[in-house]
Amino acid sequence: MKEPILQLEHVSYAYPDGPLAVEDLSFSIERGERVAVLGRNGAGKSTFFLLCNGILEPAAGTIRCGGRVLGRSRRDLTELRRRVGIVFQEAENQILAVTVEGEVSFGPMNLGLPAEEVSRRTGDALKRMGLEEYGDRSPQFLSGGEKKRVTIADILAMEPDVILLDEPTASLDPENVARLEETLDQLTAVGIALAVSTHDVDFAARFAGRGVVFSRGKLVADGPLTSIFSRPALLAEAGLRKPWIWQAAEQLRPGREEYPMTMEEFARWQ
Amino acid sequence: MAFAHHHSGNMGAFLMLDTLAARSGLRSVSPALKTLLSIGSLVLCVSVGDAVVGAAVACSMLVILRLPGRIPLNRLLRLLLAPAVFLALSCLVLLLTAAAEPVGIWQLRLGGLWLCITEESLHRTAVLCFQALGAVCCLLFLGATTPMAQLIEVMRRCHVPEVMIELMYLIYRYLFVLLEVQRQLTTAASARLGYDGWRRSVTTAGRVGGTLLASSFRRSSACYDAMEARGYTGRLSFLCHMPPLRGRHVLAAGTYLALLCLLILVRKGRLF
Repeated sequence: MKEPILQLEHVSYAYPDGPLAVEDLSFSIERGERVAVLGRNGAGKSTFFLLCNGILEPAAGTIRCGGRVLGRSRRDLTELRRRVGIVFQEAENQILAVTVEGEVSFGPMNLGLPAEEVSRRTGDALKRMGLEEYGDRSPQFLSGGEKKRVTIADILAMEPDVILLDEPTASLDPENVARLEETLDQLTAVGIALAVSTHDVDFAARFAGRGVVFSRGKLVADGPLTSIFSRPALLAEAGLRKPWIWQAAEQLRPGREEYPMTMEEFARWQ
Repeated sequence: MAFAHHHSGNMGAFLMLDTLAARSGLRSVSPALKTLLSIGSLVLCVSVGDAVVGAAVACSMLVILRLPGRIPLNRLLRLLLAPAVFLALSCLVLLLTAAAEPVGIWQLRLGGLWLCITEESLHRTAVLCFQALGAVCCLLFLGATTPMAQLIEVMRRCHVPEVMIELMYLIYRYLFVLLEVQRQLTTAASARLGYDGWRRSVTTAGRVGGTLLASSFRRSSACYDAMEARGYTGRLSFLCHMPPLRGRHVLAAGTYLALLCLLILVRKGRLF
């Protein structure tokens, strides 16, 4: 078995004056792996992301990155934030600078890199997101899809091992969703591990083989998406539905354990 | 000018500056040099206190903005409109003096009083008006040719306190974000007849303001999380591509300031 790049062991977290938001969570992800994170609003998905990146301090449990336990020292936190990036749902909450180039350079600047290195990484990240021409544009003049690409470039410039995307498809039109899927393929190709939280089970089925399901602060399932969608009780508990293609196939030939989830699988399905 | 329609609101002219700066023909001139030229001319213009010098600065700055700056004249005039109205009102007050007897070159009877314009008040008003106009044009030159990020970086290099630099960056960024939220709230309110009549408009505007404040507070913690997620530890810094200082630009700016000094000397009667 491959060494996990990020590993959470028995992590719990409670917001001040609140019940446990995440309870006894164990999760690990390998280099280049893709995971769909499913569950209702408020089930703990965002809290899970914030814990992975050290924004929230776990009340119990440990976080390992590349095999090493990372604590709360400034050095460890910087290391964790470099290796695990979060692309937030609302681009407006993430974009900070008044030019696109400045925005993408914010992460590398915080890592304390020399100016030439910051410049190289910023240029690389912009290029990979197809934003070379946008360097001195102001973020307020960008479209929704462009803003999303800027927020991904933000994280790419930090050259992370894992990227967590919080509902990246939520505000995108179908064309930009297709573009996002291509982008995610590129990231996987260079070995970056991806965890994507989403309410769109059809997107999840196209995106990943593995899924994790949150319900009331607990990780209630972790495994192949096909096994998740074949458990009606789990789907009811987590407020999920089956992908449309799965449902259509089930209508055609009822009574099977598993069904195809994507168009490609459906085309090959017997 | 494809972006202009985004800002057709009351702050249009102000928000237009950054768009103009991004396209201006002078955007590749070193921002430090532009700041020096702008502030230098401004100080000269204000300290000399001469109407001709003021008018010369105003006109030359507008010519620079129009020709090498390639900014359309109607944009420049729109930008000048607000300060010009303010200036005209102040000048009117300064121009008129109340007196018990008719004095000066023009008088108007108002009951037992006379409103008069004297030669002295005319002169004073002309000096102030052109002085102010010159100063406004100097700042317009800087604002309409220098993107905000470069301006803030110049201030950072001039050792303006770090907290002010951060505030400038954040205020400038969130101005646009909050303006968009405000626009949406206002649209939603008018869709429900919230701006029907003066009284209701006032109430609705108040509610929109309150909601904006509340949503800003909520948003601020999400924004801070996003900053921390990218390793923010207390210093806000961005890469900013600064156009380099070029010899011919320095020469041009030097010539301009020298000509201005020459004009000042002529006006003060120290020359010829």
